[in-house]
Amino acid sequence: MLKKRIIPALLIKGSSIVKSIQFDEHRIVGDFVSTTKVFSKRFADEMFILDIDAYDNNKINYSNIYEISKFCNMPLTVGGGIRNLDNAKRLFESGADKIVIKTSYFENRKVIEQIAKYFGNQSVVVCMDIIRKNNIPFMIKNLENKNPLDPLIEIKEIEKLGAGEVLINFVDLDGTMKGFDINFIEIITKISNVPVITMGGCGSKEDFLKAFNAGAEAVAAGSIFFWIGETIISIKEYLKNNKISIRMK
Amino acid sequence: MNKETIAIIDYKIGNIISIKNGFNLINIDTYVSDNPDEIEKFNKIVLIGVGSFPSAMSNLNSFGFTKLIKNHIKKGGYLLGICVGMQLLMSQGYEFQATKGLDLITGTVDKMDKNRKIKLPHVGWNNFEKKININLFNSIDIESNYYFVHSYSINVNDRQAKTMNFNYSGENYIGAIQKNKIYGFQFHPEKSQEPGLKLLKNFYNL
Repeated sequence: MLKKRIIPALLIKGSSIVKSIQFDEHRIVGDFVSTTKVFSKRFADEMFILDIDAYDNNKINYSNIYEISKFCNMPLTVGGGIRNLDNAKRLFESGADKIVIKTSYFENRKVIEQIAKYFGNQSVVVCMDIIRKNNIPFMIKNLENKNPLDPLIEIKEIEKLGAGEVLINFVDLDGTMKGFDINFIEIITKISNVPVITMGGCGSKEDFLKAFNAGAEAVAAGSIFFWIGETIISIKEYLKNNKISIRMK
Repeated sequence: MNKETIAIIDYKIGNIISIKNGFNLINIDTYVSDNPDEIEKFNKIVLIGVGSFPSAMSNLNSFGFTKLIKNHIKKGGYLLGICVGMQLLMSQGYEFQATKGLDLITGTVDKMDKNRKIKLPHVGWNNFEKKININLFNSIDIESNYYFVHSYSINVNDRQAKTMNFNYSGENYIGAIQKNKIYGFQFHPEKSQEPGLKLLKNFYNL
């Protein structure tokens, strides 16, 4: 039986891990490597490395990924700054297993199709940034976005382009640890033909349980591991006791 | 005893670095090459693949590996196919168009949905049903999970082949196969933590 996934997400902004102390380039790689080793041992089901500045700077740090992948004994999913097939090729050559595309969906969505054709659908995750305005969910390019889109329509387009998974990122909940938008997860997982990963707002074991019961295949989280100190194993035990199919060995 | 090196076929389609890293973690030496003449010298060969069956097969042909792999099996060498690399072992694939495979094992590669609505790809960790009947899994807990990511699976019609099944959304599919010295995993052992690395070690120890 397929298991629900728990994915630690490391967010890089500039040269620091978001909401963390400043590291220099050297330290950040060292930190990622040791974090990767720890998560590999503690039953993380996958790992996300998301460089949220890479798109603006047009700079993907391939050598970081290469160093991390040496010790990443689980799937490694990398996002940030992927604009073309060549970026994707270089990331896969550096040891990424999957890539996450967000901004390119708004600027040049053909690239999703190209990457999916070349490396297979399973290699592409498309990220939808979701906010609620007047209680209606919208998909946005960024917080200044003037023309928000209807996520229930866009998800069909994303599937058509060849994405293998969809990452739902609740941007206005991110870092709040207030929990996910469960109602939205229920709706989107019902209409999606590809697995749905959810991220942004996870603050407790109960949030994982609610997201899985709502239909999410995977939950990605950062703060809960780094700030609350919950371990993946303690969360998994809680989920198992609540009848969620989860990997314990 | 001399330490054996595992050869990895580089036909510009698989995640070569992941499998190399996997063997590295258990201190097994690998040799990666896109040259069939170099790969020919090794007793154990790994064929890993991602992407689509037709593009993988076409790359395999254009690098000259198709003949090499068939000769390698005739000479009694070991082969491990991973993910699309396992699917290529079959007679025929049906992704986008019908494409001839390596035909080392009689069978086909078909989309997993079989006239029913399931989410694809089948992505994540899954375990095998019932009993171990492939020797590489000996001494590994049958409840162990492995990382899968694929939308196509193999259907086998070969009396010499032994298979192990996993279950997805109520249907059984083949996740591992063995025919004499040919092995295939639909999942990624190099991404499957302890049990996955143990399988790679067991292949090395054959």
